[in-house]
Amino acid sequence: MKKNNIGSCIFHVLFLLFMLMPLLAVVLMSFTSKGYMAFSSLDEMSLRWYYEVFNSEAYMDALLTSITLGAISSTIACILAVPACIALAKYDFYGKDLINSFLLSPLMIPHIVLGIAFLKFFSNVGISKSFLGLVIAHIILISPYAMRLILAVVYSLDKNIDNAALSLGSNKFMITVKITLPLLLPGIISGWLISFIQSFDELTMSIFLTPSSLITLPVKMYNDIDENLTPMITAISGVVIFGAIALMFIIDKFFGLEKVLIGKK
Amino acid sequence: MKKIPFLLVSPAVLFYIVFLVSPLLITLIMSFHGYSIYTGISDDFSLANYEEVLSDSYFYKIFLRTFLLSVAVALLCTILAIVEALILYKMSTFYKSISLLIILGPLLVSVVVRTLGWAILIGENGFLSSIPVLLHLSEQPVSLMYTQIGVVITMVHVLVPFSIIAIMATMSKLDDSIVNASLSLKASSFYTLRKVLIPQLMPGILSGVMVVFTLSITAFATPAIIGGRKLKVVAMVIYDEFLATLNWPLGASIAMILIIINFVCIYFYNKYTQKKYKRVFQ
Repeated sequence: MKKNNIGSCIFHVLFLLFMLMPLLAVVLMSFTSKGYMAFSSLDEMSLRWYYEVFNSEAYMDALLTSITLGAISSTIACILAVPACIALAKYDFYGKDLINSFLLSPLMIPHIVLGIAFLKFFSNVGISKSFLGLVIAHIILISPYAMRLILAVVYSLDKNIDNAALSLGSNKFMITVKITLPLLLPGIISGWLISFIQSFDELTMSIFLTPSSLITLPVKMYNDIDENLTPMITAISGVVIFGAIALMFIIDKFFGLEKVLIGKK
Repeated sequence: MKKIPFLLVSPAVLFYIVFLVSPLLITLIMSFHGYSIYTGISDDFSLANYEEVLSDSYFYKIFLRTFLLSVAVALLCTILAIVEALILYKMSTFYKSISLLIILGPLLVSVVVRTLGWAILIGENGFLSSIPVLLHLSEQPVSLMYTQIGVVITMVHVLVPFSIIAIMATMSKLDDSIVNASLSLKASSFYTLRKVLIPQLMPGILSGVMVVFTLSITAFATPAIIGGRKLKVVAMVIYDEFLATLNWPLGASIAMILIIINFVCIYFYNKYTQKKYKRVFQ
């Protein structure tokens, strides 16, 4: 196979620059010492807006809400997904393919449609604009992401291990608890992480469901970009970006980012 | 023993039936109801909302704008992703994984943050807006905020990782020896690319097109922040009907049309790829 030529290298560098530029702009802007949206020169950079954002009750509340929401809904999504994935990968039963596509179907429904459908449904059953509603909506939204990853891991398990345990006198229940679940753990953790990220970043659906007392971070940021744009938003974005970078290295070190995002085995 | 798999899937399936199927059904039913500012949502049943959406030139313009925007975004993403994926394919493992971190990393950051980044770059005082001045092409900075081009650029940035993921997924199944065979038989590298590599990558390329297109026609945050009120897209109209005008039934009917367009795209994609690329999937 031929190597990349000069033209390809230039394209590649420009493409990486294109991908990085907006994030770099946000991070640079977040270190400004000015009181409005403008870059500072290198020697005038300050942590002024980080200080402000960490002392802003509204932003810290929003950050906490998003973290709590993400943690609760990804945990429940994984609890629902693990047994379903074991059934789909290890058993043959009537309607298996249909159930498989049904459980992945939220991926095909636009977030904006989910948002209005939940708004209508929750106001019918009396939990509109509540944290409970937000959790339920997020579980539906992120379950397919958890399912896809966990399913791939269950499929990759060696069936001979089960047979070995059976021949040594174990039963199906013991196999699940002592063998399958421990082997699935990396898959479950990466499924949890990817669902957490999906939940943490979600705007379009949540905008219809967020109670004004418990506003999520992306909704808070969206509202402020619209109405009250200050470098504080770039500072909280900076926090999110640094968090994402840390998470990216964790995922890459333990599971491989390619594996989690592309689904390569 | 036969019951075990059903017991295992039932919590997830029940959860979906209660919290996914019923909200969507209720919304579908609501889209047939009427609405007036004085009495709110009425219980009658008609196709009036759909007739209004499909006949009004206001909505027609917005659907057309959304469609053209999505075609442009899907085309650009696909071209960029094919070129970049081929470059990555030839790279050593080390550089490839670093590049992938940079390309896929932004997926972990909220669309709101990435869009904000572009708003900074292409705003009045933005770095990119001042390039025409530096090149002496213009006296004034050229801001792409609130323009269609600005929306397209930002959407391409947001969605191009999905095209790359789709193409890379097919690429990982690629057989290097076929490419080498073609080259050793004195085929030029362009001929090899056109006749050997691209056809093998076609399932990935097409699934990338479909993912990007369906995500574009339903996008909300990026068009709302970069495009603003003057360049409304379908998702923004639904948002307005629900949270500003409060004509929920009309908003629901637009949402249903959007979901139908989405499903039609997915259906034709599946049908086409399964027919044409059956061998690749086996």
